Amino acid sequence: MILFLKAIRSIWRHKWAYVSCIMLIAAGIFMYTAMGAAAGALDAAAQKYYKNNRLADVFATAVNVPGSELSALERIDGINELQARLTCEARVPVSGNSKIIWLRLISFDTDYEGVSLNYPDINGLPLEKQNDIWLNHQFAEIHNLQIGDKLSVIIDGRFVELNIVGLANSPEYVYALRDATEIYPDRETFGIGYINIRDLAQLLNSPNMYNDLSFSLENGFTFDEVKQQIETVLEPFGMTGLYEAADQMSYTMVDAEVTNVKAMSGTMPLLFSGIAAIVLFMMLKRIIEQERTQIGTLKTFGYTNREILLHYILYGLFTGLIGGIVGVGLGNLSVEYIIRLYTEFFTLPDISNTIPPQLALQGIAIATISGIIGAYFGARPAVKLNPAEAMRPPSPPEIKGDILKYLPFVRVLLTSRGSMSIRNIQRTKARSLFIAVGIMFSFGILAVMSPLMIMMTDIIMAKYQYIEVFDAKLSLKQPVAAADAAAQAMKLSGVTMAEFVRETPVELRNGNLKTGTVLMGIKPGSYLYNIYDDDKKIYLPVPDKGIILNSFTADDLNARPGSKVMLTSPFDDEEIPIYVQDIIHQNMTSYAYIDYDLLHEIFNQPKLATAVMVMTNDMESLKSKLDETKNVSTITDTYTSAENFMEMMNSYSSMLWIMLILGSAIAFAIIYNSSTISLSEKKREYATLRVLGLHIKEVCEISNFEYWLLYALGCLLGVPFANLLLSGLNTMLAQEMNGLSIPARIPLWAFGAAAAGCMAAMILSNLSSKKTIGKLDMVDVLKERE
Amino acid sequence: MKDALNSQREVILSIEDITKEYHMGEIIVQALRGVNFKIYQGEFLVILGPSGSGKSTVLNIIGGIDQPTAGKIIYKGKDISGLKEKDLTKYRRSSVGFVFQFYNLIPNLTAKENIQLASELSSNALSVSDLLETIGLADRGGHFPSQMSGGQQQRVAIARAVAKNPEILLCDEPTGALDFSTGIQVLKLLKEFNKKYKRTVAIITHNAGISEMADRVLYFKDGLVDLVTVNDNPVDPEEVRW
Repeated sequence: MILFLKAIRSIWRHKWAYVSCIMLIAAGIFMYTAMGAAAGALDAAAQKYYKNNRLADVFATAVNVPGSELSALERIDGINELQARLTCEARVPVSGNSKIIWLRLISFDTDYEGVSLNYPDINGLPLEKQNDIWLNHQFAEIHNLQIGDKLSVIIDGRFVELNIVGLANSPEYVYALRDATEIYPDRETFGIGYINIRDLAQLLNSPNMYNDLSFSLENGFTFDEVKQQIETVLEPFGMTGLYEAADQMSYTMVDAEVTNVKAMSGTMPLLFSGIAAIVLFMMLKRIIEQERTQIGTLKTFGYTNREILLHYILYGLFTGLIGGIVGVGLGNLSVEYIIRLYTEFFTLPDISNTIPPQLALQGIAIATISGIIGAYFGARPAVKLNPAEAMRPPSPPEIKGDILKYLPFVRVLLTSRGSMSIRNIQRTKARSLFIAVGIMFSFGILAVMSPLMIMMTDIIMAKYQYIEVFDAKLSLKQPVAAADAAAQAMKLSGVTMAEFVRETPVELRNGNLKTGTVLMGIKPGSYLYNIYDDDKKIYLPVPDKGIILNSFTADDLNARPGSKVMLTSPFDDEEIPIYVQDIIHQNMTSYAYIDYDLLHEIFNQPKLATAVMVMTNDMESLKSKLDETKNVSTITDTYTSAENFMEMMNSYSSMLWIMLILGSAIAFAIIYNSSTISLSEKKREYATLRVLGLHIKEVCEISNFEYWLLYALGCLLGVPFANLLLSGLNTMLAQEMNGLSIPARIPLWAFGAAAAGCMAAMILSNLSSKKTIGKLDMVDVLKERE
Repeated sequence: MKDALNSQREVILSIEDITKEYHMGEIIVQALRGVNFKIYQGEFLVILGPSGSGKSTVLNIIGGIDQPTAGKIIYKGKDISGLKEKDLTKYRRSSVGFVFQFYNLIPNLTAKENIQLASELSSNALSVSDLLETIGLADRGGHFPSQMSGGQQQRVAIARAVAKNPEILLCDEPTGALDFSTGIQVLKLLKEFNKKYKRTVAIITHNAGISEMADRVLYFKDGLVDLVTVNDNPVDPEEVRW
């Protein structure tokens, strides 16, 4: 009991050092619990949603599949259930809104009894009358649409009035991207609507035809076992896609997010708790060294090593436990906010916004164990001393192998004070390494995070100012004769320039490596689409003998300039050999490029266009005209796209700020705690120097020189670490943001900013050291027996 | 006669009505109660007294590492009692050398570097190699404190203190942590410095034996100078016994 009281008083005496450890642990546990709970809730809610609403195992899309062919699909061995649907994209004209708004109409079979595959969550009336529709909640909410309202849409150039009778969300659109080119869900410009299959067939004039098929598999069957047979049935009907649930766009995004957040919630607390454990270890080691005589006294009384060790472990247990509880508390306060952020992008029913007790307990356990480990290793050496030894002052620290012996040139340049700094580093190698690694972490985080917003903005600017210089791109439902496409576009009001391109999905193979990409055929004189790499080097005209690959695609194929790759088009099963002429790095596009004429030559096809790019001085007029145009599937307005992207980046900026603050906080916590401990160890030396006649500034120079050397080492290590971090971030972005990447090179100024950030932490810490050195009472320090 | 002897010597430092109070919680401890004495150029002074008599306090005040509550310290005609920290540091840097009971060598500097550390502070520094020679550790200049005995460490500490060539060498129980024969070696070294460089040496100790080698002895008791004696024939350090 008395030892417990001693522990409490000792902790109180060094309260600020313990507070900093508690905050480090709390930060780690906060992330562990808040992000872990968010990822767990997202995963659990998604899995429950998929199960309850019967998300299909396999998805296929085709141009038109006659109803008569469905039985052939149902007969495939391994297919349990087939759902055939019609889907189409409708434009939603909203007065006063200049954005292009799309509604994906999905047929719903009202005659089906029971829960069909991909069953939506419905809230409202059944689809009984003609042109009744269920809208997804987010779309209805943002456009202020309610049950009972009418909604006008344009389908194939025809205005159709729909009656909103209910709201419905789909397990297929948890993360509702319109297509693979979108980076994040925009609830304003893309919505989902369910409509009775008879009505949709009538509106599309496609009776007994389907373009969207979903399958559930019998137990024990895999996608690979049915893939070939489905392909065989659907290929004659223009199959455009066949994939399993794991590759379904929304499913993939949810899965990637859960994986990344779980990974982050697993690594960040390890980092923070690890740092806290090391700080605690150093701090306790120092406190115990100061209490050496007390340990000796306790031992002479008869306290066992175990009792004394447990006493000091109590310090770590206390720190860890409090840190864990504070972390869980902070996590609990913020998990609701994090879940709310998620629900901006992920539409899921019944998502929990509390920390599960098990996770909270795990967090507290991790924190407590880190505290105990730090305390155990800090206390163990001093506790092992025999009582007589403990009562004596420790012998001067031994210098093993003088580092300056091996650096004679350095020794010549240094004063005695400089030598002290160098040998201080040598004397406390582990702590010095810890400081350098701490600075490395902070430097890395700051170097990657500080330029991120600017890098992203630059990418957007580069994309829209240099590459896609058109005002709008009209993607066509069916390819048309190239000359006609441009001529027709030029007739539209306000259009001042029009150019066409041909985009074709292809599969590329190099040896046994395969990947898919979109091959863009560009005319030699292209003005509206340019091929620039990240260094703004232009690659036009496209060489007329081969293709240009994006570096990501080239990496997938392990291809180099000059490699011969095999290309498979959707028009022919036969592989076409083609040479890679160049490899370029582009951050926001993932096309492969080919000369327009060469593309048609190798495919042996008439010259067609799949998209028209235009310059216009009247976007509104262009959009209104296109409402009447049947063959345009998508209009991409570059201004709106850029604006949307910037909006999304702004929503990420708070996260970036948190990371920047954490980065600086780590640096400060490590440097400050280490220098406090170091000062406490060296106060006798510094007091001696003061007695010798050194000014405060001169004494500080010894400590500062040591820390600046470690700072330089930390920054040097920080450069490769930042690059490693960037590459990790790129992998994460590629998974979460549909192929988006950030420049592989960190700008020099960002390294400067990171160095400045760490320097600020150093200066703060040095100022604090200066204050302590200035306050050293020479008489007290020198009469103290170490 | 003693006064006549003293009046012939130059006063280097004069202590006038020095008092020093410490606050220990609510208790005020009077460490010095109005001390007066002079230190002469080139003398070997021993300050004797039991624990708590105020001898360490007065040494710290003379050395410029502590300040009196009241009174004056006149060093070469200038009152240093009210100096600011910066000027006190200058005073310590140029005028005073300190030798401590527990040596206080910098553990990560070699013997030679510890001496250099002090010599770098003075434009009038003594030769580091000569000093190493004088203390008999010329072949151990590259050793770190942890590689030396207590006596060797104290010799390095003395060399470090004199390296700046200070006017006064202040020694706080310099033999307190040493055995007899090592203590004698240290005292010989202090005497050598006193004679060879004609510098003032002031030693505080509770070891009455050392007083036999002093030119003058101040006896402290309850924060006051109780007695001052002059040795007409100070003994050689080798003859000192305790």
